[in-house]
Amino acid sequence: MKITDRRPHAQMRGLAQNWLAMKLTIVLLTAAVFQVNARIVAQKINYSAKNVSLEKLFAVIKQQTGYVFIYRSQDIAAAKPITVELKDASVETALHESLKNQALSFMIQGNTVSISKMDNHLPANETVIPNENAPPPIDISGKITDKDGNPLNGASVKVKGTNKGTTTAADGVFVLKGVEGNATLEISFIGYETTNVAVNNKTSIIASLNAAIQSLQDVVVSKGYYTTTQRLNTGDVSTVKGADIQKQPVTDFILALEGRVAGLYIQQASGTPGAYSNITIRGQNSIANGNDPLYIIDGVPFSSVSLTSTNIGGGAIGRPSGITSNGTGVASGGAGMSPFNSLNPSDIESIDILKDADATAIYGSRGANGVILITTKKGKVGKTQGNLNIEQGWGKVTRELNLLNTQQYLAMRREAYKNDGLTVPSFTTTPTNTIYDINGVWDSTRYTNWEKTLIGNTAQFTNIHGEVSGGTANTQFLIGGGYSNQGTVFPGSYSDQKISTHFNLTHASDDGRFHVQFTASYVYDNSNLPQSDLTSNITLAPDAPAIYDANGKINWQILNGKATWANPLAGTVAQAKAITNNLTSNLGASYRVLDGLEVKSSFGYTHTQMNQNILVPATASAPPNDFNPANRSNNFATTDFQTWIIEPQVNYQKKISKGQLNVTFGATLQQNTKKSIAERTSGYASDALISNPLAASTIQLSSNADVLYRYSALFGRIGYNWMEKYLINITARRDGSSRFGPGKQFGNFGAVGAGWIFSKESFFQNNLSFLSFGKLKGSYGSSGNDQIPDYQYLSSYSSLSSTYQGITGLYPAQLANPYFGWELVKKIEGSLELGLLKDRILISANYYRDRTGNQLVGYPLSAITGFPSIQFNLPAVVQNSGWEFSINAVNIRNKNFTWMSSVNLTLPANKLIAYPNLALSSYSSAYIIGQPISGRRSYQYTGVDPQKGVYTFATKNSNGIPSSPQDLVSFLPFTQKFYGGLQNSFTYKGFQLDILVQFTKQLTRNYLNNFALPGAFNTNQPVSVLGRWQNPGDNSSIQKFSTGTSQNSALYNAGKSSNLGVSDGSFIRLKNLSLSYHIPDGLQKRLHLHGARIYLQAQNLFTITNYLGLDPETGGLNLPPLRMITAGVQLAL
Amino acid sequence: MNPLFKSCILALFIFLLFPGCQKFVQIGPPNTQLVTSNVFTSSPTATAAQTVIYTNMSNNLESYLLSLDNGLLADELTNYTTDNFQTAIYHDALNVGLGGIGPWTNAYNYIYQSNAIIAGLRNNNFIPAKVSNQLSGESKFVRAFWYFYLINLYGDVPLITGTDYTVNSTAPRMPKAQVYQQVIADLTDAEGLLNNNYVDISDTTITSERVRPNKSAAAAMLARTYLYLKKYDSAEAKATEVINNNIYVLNSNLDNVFLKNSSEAIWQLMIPLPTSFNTWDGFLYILTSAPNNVAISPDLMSNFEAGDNRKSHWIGTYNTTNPQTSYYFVNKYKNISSTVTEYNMVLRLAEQYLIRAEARAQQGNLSGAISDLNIIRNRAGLANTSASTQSALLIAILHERQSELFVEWGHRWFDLIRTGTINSVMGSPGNACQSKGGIWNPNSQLYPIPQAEINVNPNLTQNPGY
Repeated sequence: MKITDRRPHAQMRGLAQNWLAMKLTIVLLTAAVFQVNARIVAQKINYSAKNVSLEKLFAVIKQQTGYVFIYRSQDIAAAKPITVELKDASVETALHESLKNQALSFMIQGNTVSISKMDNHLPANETVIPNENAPPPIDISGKITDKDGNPLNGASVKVKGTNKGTTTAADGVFVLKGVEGNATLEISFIGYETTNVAVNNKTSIIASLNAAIQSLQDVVVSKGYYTTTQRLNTGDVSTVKGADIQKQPVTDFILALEGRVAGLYIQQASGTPGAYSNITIRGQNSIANGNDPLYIIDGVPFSSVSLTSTNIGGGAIGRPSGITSNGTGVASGGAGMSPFNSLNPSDIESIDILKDADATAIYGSRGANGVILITTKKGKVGKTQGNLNIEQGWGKVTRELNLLNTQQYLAMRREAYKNDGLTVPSFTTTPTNTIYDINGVWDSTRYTNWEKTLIGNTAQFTNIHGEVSGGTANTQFLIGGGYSNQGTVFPGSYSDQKISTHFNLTHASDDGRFHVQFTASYVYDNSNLPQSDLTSNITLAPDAPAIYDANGKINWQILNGKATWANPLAGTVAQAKAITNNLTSNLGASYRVLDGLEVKSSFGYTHTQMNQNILVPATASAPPNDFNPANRSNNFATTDFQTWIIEPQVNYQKKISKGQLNVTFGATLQQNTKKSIAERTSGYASDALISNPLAASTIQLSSNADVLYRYSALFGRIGYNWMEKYLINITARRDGSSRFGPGKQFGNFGAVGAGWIFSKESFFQNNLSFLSFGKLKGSYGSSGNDQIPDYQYLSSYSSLSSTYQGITGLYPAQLANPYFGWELVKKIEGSLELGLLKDRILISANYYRDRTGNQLVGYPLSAITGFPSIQFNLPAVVQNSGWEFSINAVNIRNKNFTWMSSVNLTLPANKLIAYPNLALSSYSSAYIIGQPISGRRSYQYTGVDPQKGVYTFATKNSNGIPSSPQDLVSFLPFTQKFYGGLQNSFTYKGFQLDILVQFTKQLTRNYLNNFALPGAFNTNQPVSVLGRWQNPGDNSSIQKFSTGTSQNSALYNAGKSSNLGVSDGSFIRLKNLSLSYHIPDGLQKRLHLHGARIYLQAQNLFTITNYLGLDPETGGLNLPPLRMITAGVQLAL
Repeated sequence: MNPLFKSCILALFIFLLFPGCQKFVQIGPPNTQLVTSNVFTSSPTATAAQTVIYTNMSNNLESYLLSLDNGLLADELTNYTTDNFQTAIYHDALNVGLGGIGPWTNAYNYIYQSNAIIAGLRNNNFIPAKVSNQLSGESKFVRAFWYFYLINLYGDVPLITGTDYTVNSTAPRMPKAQVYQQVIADLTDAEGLLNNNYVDISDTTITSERVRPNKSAAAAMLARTYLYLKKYDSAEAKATEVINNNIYVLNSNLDNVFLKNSSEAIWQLMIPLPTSFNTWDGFLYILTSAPNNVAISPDLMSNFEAGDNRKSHWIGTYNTTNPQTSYYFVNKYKNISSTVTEYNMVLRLAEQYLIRAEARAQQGNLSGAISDLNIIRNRAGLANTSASTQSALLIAILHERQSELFVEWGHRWFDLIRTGTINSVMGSPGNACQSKGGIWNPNSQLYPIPQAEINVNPNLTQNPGY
């Protein structure tokens, strides 16, 4: 057969788009380069004036040379006016001239001139008069390093009390000529504590600087388009450091965020490597659309949509079903591959999580569900250094579900027959009856622990990561590479392997005005998994046949030429392979046009491609079909996702009065293209040929999608802080998305944030001295959600790949509604931040309330309309509110021992505030106003009838079987009451121990939902069913055993949809334990290493829960999170 | 140049980008889709919108599923799976917990597509009248065809004749009689609009391919509908129309009945191309190993009279050696190769003879009935019927339908229901349901309305007993 190839056409379109992108890039780059050339001009100063202020003179010098001046305004304001006459003067001369009678000194570093007040208040001329009695000046050379002996490039070395000074070169070396032998050198460097060293007539001075202990309040917080500090932030941003992520043996960084951030809820869906996790920030805002946060990697948006083909699925990690929620929020059977699996967690420097309106409104229509900013590692100034990390680990399923043994199982089956008034059929009397577990066809003395057999293996984990970085003050680089491999616990060799590279180059011009930075990561991921998650098969009868026959082949337990069971190994013979290639890259250029005015632009490009195969050999089919060519199939899918983004931006900052003004203004142009194609091929003559589609007798195109998404925006921010005491921050964005129909594409969003650092008020400083920091802040604003499928506004027909009478058909793709618009979230937040005991204890408490209206509902319709749903804006309102607390404390800090703790706690509440005509809507059987939207209406279970032994419900039906919606009288809120994490870090000499405990209090669906009626053929049960009803008069909570009469089945199924099917799914998990030991310096030196660390790490070490089932987080019969224990070594070379 | 001035130019440039942004986000439709308004501006696209319904009917296995589900519910097939859903059907233990049963969703999707075509062609100046008539006729035919199945499977169903979801989404169930009126009106319209002959994709040029409904297909469906409504005179008249059309001739060779464009075919569905087999029915019923799905039931096997050639020609045997067991399978379709020689039969002449025989018998025209019945019996190699009274004849005709139309589009199940014989055939001790291992529940005559549908449409009610 022939598949129509649309690609040439698509390429043409792609070219046109690239051309547009290129044109813009060229224009912006030209503008920037042009600016650079213009600024590098002669540095001679010509200026004469009488009685001018120093400020004016500095402005002139700056204008003529491009030198930048740093000074305190009060110092300059106190200076005398001066009279100068400069002709072709150098900067140095000019400054000497102008400062000679002032109590000021200057220092030139690169193109920066810093002016400071002289400490000794001596007139400047006195310092230059040599003391006749003093020894003659000497020349000093020296080296400045950090504590570990790494040279510090660009450290300032100043002769105390003079304007003499220099900076260190790349190797940390400096030379100072003509220094008094009794002088003191003041050595300073950003990020290090300033040190004074007495010269004492030494000509060689070697000094090391201690890293400054940075208060958490000074931590730089990224808010995407601009940065601030924790102290001055008016919004709600949580930061997780890369180092904390790298302490966890995971291949998807999302899993390392669990329990670390208040308001960020992550639910792992499966322990299979690469599986998708559910991630929400401050709850589910949208009833029917995406609740995914916006992910930005180094300024480039990264799609949170799984690339796994919805058409062919991802094997053991399931099939993405778009926006799924079954009440627990978990798409049953998984939801495809996590897009973040194609990133290397080792490349991450930090992650900022933006939550409130102040932080997210600048992301406009994409910020509703919060923003996760990922910053990758960048090169640092210093000598070239290598870093190698090698880690090996082993993963196991920890929790076992106690199921019946063969004896108990067979007794249950016999009791079921007895209860149904039937005799157990024997094979001889009814050979057609397929109840092989009990009629003698299967060996009823066999016992298989299916959990051990199917998910009992040890998963291997290997992670190797290497990095080389370094650079001068102007140019820094980082090159990283890694390999990781995570196996599975299934029988057979399956794994997810990753090879990654990461590159960063940063350059600044000599005058420090022009910066350019390029970052790129490339990850190759090779996932090879079974076709199904074998966990679902652990309910096989314990006397089911052996998985292998005497010859080591898959055993089908043939009877009359026909398999008597579905051997679960068939799911491993068939493989799901996926190869993902992911390139993320970003180029950023900035130029400081004027002091305080910076123009910059960011260009981003990501390209992710996933190639999938689901290979099903005929041997996966029961004999005699194991030789049928029709049963050999290979389903292909290729999904190709590209994003480019251009964001020009202007930043301006200026001191106005006693305050600092920051203005940011910019624009965004973004385009995503997603192309996917899926093909089914079958009819291979041999299993050996199934990798080659040319050998297929049938090739069928099963889906072909080509989606374009465009997005444009203008955004701005005005921030002003008055004496670092009163803060205000206004952000706004106007943006447009192609997901909406003409006239509905643009929306405006904005927010105001304000803060009051009350600890700066003298009242608090005088009366509450233990309070080192105190801030009250709040924000209010809006952001939107456009996470809906593309082209929903169009009424269109799609073409079908197969032909009828020689022509391809056209079918209506969907019911169209051209009028829908944004979902709008209005967020309000208030918070209090306190620092106690010199910020050793930092406490923050937030209250937030997000209300999402204008809900864009893929409104389920009765199929009688021809389609299952339509997109439509409903004036329904969902509210997420809650409290978030976090405490960071340095409990003990002394020379050898530190103990630090951090706790975060979130108390979320979700409810449906309004839903017009809910009772008449299609959600009438799901929701109740005032209750959480993650909950569901349910039947009311009223116990087991002591006489009949069956479940009873509050029902209007006389037969006792409840029916929907009339008997949905109960409501089950599937929400977390609270969740959080507790981290403790201890260091003692070279040892470091980190312990992270994650906890969640919640209600979840229980095991009942995954099991068939107790007593039915070939389904084992948890041992708890032994407490079932047996005889009239028994009081039990478990229905009598039955082979599956329609009445008993119906009641059992009704039980699943009632409060009986729900139980406490709270848990406390020792999420991460990391113990490391720094090899002592002496040994390191002998090994020629700059640093060495050996460590043990453990993920999901144990879980405390009352949940009856495999795991309360993954729920159901999905593979639980594995306990992964690793050992590794990290070397700095 | 003054740096401030330059930065102003840059800022201005950013501003100037913005009007471009407005256009930037206005994108065209995806190249994998065609905007609806354009579909009905040309004949080829409108035709493609019509023929896709047949493609979907084939791809969605409608013929196979209706024959399978109703064959299992009735006494035609034996279940060999342990699948919950299929086992429940086999045991006549339908329940809402099984999820949606039957073609509800698909049928309403075909009806939507038909309604969209009927609306798109109304007052349409782009498409010539001849084309428009043929396509409207086909759409009305398809709409009637699926309403016929819906009411016979589910009882009263919502009657949707437009495309406005705001009206349709809460439509209540309409009494069966009212839906039947629509079926008759649509089929009557279709008979007037459709070509006498079969047409190709031009919608006007005649072809030998009997894969799209024509005037006789509408008449044949009308004959069946009138029979079900017990309007025997009309049923006889419509069946006669078809029988008298000399392009339809019963195949004397039973092996040729289900070939593509067989002389007996009134309407067939071709298999959409590309394909690796001929028909889903052939592909899924023909046994190449011991059955792991279904095989013909002992009830059906024992129904055939001695010497009935249909038993030897339309039923295949698969023998296992150890132990020696024979399994019987539906072998009306024989070809499972990728060379297409067979099409899926939807309407065929033999049914029209049996409709007319029954209509005549009901009206007291016993000799006419006997003559029609004998035509079918003789073709199968059987002697003339011995039945001579009206009641004996009606029983003989029902029996003949069972032998002739077995495992085709659910005929047997519908016959049992409409003739009121279902409870005795299925229900009495020792009868069909018990031998299948189930317990007969008369409420099973109607499928349950899918629970999901009731959940989203507050005006839908459930059938009794569910």
